[in-house]
Amino acid sequence: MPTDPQLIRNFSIIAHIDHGKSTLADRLLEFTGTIEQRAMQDQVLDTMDIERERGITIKAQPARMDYKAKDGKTYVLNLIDTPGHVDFGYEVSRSLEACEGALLIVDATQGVEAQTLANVHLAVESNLEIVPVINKIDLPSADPERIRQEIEEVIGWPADNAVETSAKNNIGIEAVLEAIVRDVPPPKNNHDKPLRALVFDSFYDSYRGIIVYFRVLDGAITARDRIRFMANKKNFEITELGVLKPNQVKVDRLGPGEVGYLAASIKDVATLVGDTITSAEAPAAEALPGYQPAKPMVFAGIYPVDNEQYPELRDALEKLKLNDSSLFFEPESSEALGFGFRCGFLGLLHMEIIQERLEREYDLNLITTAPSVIYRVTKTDGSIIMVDNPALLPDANHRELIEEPIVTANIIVPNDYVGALMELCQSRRGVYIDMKFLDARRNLLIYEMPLSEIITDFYDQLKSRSRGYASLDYQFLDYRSSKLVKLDVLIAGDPVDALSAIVHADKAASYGRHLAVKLKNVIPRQMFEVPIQAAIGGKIVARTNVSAVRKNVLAKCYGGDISRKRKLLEKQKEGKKRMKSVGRIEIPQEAFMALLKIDSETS
Amino acid sequence: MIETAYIHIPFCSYKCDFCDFAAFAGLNHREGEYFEALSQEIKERLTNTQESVKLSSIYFGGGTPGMVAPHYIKAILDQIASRVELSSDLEICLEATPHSVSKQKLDQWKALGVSRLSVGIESFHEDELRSIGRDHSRQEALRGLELALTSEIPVVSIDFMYGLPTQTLESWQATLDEAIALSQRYPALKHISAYGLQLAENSPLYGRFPRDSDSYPDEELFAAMMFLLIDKLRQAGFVHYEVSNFAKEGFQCRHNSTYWKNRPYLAFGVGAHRYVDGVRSANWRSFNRYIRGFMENEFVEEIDRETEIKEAVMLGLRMRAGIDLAAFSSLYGYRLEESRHQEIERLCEAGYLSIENGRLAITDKGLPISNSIIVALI
Repeated sequence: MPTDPQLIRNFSIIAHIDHGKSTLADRLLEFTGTIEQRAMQDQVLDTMDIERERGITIKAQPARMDYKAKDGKTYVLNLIDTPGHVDFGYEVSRSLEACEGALLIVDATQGVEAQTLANVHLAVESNLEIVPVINKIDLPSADPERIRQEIEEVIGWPADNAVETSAKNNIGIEAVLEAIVRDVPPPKNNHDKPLRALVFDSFYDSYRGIIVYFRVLDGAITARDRIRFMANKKNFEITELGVLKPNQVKVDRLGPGEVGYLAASIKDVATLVGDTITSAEAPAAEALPGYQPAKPMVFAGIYPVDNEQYPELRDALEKLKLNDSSLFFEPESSEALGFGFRCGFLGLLHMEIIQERLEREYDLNLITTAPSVIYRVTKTDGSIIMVDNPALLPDANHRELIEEPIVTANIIVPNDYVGALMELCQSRRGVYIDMKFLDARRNLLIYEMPLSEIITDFYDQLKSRSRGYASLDYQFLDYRSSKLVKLDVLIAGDPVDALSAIVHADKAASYGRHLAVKLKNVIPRQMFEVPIQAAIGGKIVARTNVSAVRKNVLAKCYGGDISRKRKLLEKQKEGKKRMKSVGRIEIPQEAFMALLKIDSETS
Repeated sequence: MIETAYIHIPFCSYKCDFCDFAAFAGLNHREGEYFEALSQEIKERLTNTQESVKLSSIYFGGGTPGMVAPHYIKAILDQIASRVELSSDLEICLEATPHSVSKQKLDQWKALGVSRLSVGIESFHEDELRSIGRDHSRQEALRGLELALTSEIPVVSIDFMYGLPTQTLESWQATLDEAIALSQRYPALKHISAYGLQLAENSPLYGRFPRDSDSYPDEELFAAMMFLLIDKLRQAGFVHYEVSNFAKEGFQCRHNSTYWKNRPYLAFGVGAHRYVDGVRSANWRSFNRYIRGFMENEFVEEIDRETEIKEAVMLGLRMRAGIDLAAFSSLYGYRLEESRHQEIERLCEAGYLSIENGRLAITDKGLPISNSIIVALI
């Protein structure tokens, strides 16, 4: 039997990194007996190793809980966890679509942060009921009164009923559950309509095919149904239907408002997320609105170190794309790196995570080129092209104009660091727009900045110059023309296309010098002297040399040395295998990222 | 067919600061015990060896074999002679320090059939001898060496070290000039080894001269020392036949050449390594452990075909004559020049490798970075 929609509450959690989201989720699972305490591990819903190691949530992982409330009724609570990082705003909006309410968790010692603000606005726009939770009230510096005021002033949401909790010390957990039951509206009971369910996630399982996470909006779905994906126009026979507690538990039928998963031997379907599931026999007339596809903002080339891994890399990207529809990729080739893919990401963290997942989950050895934004270039013949790879920028005499993406950056910063961050924004070509006082201690700084400046080490600088107190959120604003030039790098006299960058003309020469030195430091000495040059439009602006190895010889190699010395040479050989051979030069992975770290030194 | 045998004699008067071998100072009172175990080991192993054995070389290395009473050496030689066939031109080589050499010992060694003496000099420079912690002076070195060179043992080899702390190109040249002068005066001086200093981790030498100390010659100077060595000894009529070894024509060390040709060899004694029946193995390196279990192995490695090829490349390129590509291919079923065509071409172009008369060899220019070259080819 499907659950009475009146007894269902679907909610997500919005929180800044470190404000205690995963811990609170763990406590809710425990309190409702969904997971026994002894079976508990930290961050239950963060299933990827990378998430646990970094203490962040990348991927929304749903959980169904049964909660016997104080009114005597047992409710089904579906938690759809959300990521907190600015890169994953898109994931957040997907999760929100499947909910009627959202817990807003704010750290009682910190206050509302920039990404939280952005996510709450998303939730409010989606008509979600917000349930404010003030966490970490056990800490000596907790100031719930101030936080309450801030929520009301900054977000404009009444916070007098905000629940005070300490997820760490198990305080206020039941009050959170009661607030969810009381304040989050139940889903609409559209049981008499044809089936429509929204796919909000999917991943690949090698035994059962693609597993789909969905929420039923209208009608009901049963384990014996033939279903149709409306956008993909494909029919499938369900082989397994269930709910996530958070482990998969099979059920027979799910009705309006319920959240579940299904398997239907689905293979070779590129994009399921955002699609509408309906019945193959009695299909709905219209699909659900679905999602706006996420626009990748940051592009980089991903290449296998060993060219033979190219097909494996392609397979891995296709599989990752299944549960990360924001990942974009298309084949490209580089003279230096061979065959690889130009990939688009939501941001730098997203890029790092994809690279790490490719290397860990698919055992690939990769080179990622320095990230670039997408430039709009007007050529002399009047045509306009989008350039996501600096190597492909037309020569200066073939282009009329380069425009670059500008974002609005919202930075929340305590009083003490306002000066330092203004300086930082200025040095990154930021244009000051406004400063608002959030409360007596904190300010909202608004700048318009080139996105390319934000993706080169800006976030780390922001954090280090504010001792970790500042937070950042940004949205795409528009394209603006800018004095940009292409910086080329020549190694041993040959241009290495994968090291090219598009940089601002005023900074180009100093960039070039720093890049050359940086490369000199990361490229190991080889049998030959390796000249490194940086050039703008054919003019060399910097040069340096990696001197040749002059001594690498075994003086003695007698009977007792042979095995040991062979192993020594094998180890040297292994070290080389992790590098990319470009011509006769071996270049390590770090070299391709050298550009990223230059700004901290020049600005 | 196994043609060479190595006998390790671990006793020393003093353990040098750079020494990384199974060598022990102050254990002389246990010589009797050791030679008993050694003799027993030789007997048991020679009974068990599958491959046929006909020795053309027996090498006493150490430690300082020159330090022990010659009757011990005799007992070992007798033990071997009673169990395996010996070639009529058998070469018996023995290592000694200059101050372990005496007229009496030289006569006894000659009587035992020792045909080659290897004397560790290291340097003719007083400061350098002290800097690496040798327990003999320049004068002692010269005295012992002249005794050896005037004895009836027909071939004498001496060895030196370079790249030493405080060493300069001038002091190295002076040492080489003195060695060459000796070779001109005494025809018995037919072989010279010269080793670039290579320090093990935790070497006591680091106590006085830390790893990154300015006292060590830098890479550029090291390479210059190597080139000076090669030029000088070549001009003096020595054939440079291996990275660190020079000989008058026909007087290459037969025993050591076995290693570089990747041929099998027997070995006995504490910490000794052998290569027999396709297996590399070694005895215990601890003196007591060896005495208790001289037939046990501390290390065993079966050499598969791939490893064998790598070793053959690594060892073959140590020889200045290099690798005979046709012979290599018929021996290992692997055409090195094809599998590593690109690397070889590139390295030949750069002047680091050469192919002449079907032999692939590292050039003078490539020698100081021979590891990098070998790594490209394995």
